[in-house]
Amino acid sequence: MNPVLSTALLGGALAVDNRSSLRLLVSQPLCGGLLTGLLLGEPRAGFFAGAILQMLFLGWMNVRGGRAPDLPLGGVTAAALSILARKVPASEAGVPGLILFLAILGALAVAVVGRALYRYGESRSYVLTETALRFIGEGRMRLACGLHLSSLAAHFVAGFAIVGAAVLIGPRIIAGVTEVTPALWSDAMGPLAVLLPFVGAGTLLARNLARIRLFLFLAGFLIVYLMSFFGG
Amino acid sequence: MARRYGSQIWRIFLIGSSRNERLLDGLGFFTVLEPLIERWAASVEERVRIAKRHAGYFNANPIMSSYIAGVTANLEERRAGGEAIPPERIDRVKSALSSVLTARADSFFENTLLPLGLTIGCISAINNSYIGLAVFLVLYNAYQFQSRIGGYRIGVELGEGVGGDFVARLFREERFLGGAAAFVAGVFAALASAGAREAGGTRLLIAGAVIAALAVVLKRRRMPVVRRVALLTFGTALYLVAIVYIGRVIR
Repeated sequence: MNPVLSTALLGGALAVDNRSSLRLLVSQPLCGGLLTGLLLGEPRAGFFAGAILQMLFLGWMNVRGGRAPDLPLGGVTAAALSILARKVPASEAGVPGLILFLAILGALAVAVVGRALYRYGESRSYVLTETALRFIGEGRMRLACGLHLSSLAAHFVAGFAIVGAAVLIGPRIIAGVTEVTPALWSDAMGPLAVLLPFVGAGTLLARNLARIRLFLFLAGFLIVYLMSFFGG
Repeated sequence: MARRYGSQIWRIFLIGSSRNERLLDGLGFFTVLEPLIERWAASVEERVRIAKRHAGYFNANPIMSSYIAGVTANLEERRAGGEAIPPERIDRVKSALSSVLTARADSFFENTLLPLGLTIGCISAINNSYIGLAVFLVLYNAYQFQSRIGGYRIGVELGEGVGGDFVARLFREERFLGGAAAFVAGVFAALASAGAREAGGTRLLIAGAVIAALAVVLKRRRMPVVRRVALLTFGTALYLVAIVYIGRVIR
């Protein structure tokens, strides 16, 4: 299947998991990245990109009513861009660090757009609510339920469109940027994947600054770090 | 059980699909109870009245909504059977359970279980393994399915009287899991540090520590998460490029 179509379909399916309260959590970037990688024939690369995005947001909690970025769509996009950008001839020689950096930026943009679109839909769906309430008043219960369930299709279409657009144009943009970026910059970004997990580590530390939690955090840190230091 | 509650249970999983600013999950709550409403009403007018009551504003954690739907079904069933239960009491129970259970469930599922599972998944990702991902999915969904399906069944069969026991049993592990999440977070930080030391020695390790410290500061300053992540990602990339340039100038 066409890679753009297959990732867009996956984006739609994961948007349903994320927005419908089904919440099996297969839509988390860690899992979404792996699924994207499987679809595109490179599960390791997809899992890696999804995991890096997940690590950036590790320790972040979705507070009720807060402005939650659309991470599921971001996870699919990060994985798809990091795999497909390497297949565009212009960026074949691109250094993985730079491609990863650009894929993460693309994923963040998609996460923001996904959130904005969802908020817009949420504020405009009073039309659907009013219609459903009218159906209930008229005794047409099944139709009201149908309207409720039809929102699943809206979530799917939104996820499909956003991921589809990002995966359609994203690899070419990344290839273009990689082409014009000086080799020195590309080489310098090599260790990016090693440093980005520290963003998540810092956020996790900030979450566990209370006395007992901090003790447990430090215990976990010291045990494993010393074990790795002394070759355990 | 599947035959008895099947038509409600699949709807429970989709309760928040049409979340909107006016009713929040009200339409979803009505959809869960819709197959039962006909059983509770003697006339068409009564059916519409009951339906309208349950299609109002409803805001609860989607996982614990199942228990609230079960309790509501239990009360409506008893009311239809002739017990003197006024509709106002049903509404009161529904709204009281919503606020209490939502606070507990958000704390348990969003603040404790999800970060714990994701950190385990990321630890195994650092080691190029999928096992952590599987552990995360099994751990989270075991609690989720137990709370959603079991919660609905308990609510329908036993009513609101057992709410306290049910919640206490479900959240008994919260303190333990919270401690485990803190320990596992430390393990994740240690593995990230070990990876940085292996890849670039002390220089990368110090850079990682600075990034982590900045993440703590920005989190405590309540900077929006996307802005924080974008800033730190850009900053890290800029640092890497700057270090190479400076190294070249010095040479």
